[in-house]
Amino acid sequence: MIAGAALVDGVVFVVPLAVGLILTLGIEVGVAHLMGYSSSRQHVAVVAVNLITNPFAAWLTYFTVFLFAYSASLGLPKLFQNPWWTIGLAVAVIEITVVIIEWLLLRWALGSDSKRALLVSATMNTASFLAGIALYGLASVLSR
Amino acid sequence: VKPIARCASFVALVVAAVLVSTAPAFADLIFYPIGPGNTGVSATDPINTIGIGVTLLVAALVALVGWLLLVAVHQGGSDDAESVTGTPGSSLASSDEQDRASR
Repeated sequence: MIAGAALVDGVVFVVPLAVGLILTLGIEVGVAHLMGYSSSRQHVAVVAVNLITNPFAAWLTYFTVFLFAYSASLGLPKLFQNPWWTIGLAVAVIEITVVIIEWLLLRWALGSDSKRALLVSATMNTASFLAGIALYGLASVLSR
Repeated sequence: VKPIARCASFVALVVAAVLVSTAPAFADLIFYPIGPGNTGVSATDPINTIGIGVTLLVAALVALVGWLLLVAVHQGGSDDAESVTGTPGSSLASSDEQDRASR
């Protein structure tokens, strides 16, 4: 029974992460392609860095939401009990960390120019972040 | 014309992704458990530690696949060599051969 419960709980978490990952891959590979990363090798590198960073970033985001949802019962200071700006701050830190990690990984894997790799990493992550914000806004409107 | 075409393609890509993804059921799928209005998270619910653990395990496995892919890409050569010669590492090979021939 415990294994079954774990499977159900895991699927509840993993499915949205998988959908988010697929959307992120579509947007980021598209943006990287438009920025000149047009060979299949460069596409694979962009997919690979996203496979490394995206699940952990999404997991950390969800974990942050959980932390703030339970902040009162966990006895956290009132400062941490206003979810919107604290979650926003956490997401900003996570996104900046992702940009830096993907920049370093792309530079290492492709042996390409450092500035170019940073520009591609920052642009594709900004695009997927903005798309996520737009999706969240539209989903909020549609759910009313 | 090229930058405009690129910008237009990018905007089209984002708009298409937004349109496809905002079917209500699909949106619920993406944003659960954050969900609009944090519907998936309630302080009265027990903490889903098993779900958090299983998700972390899956994240680690996906990251491992990504790392193996990236190592394979890294072993394929560098962009700089590719951009100069068309094929990774071929400029080095041909200059070595020329050196040997001249000796």
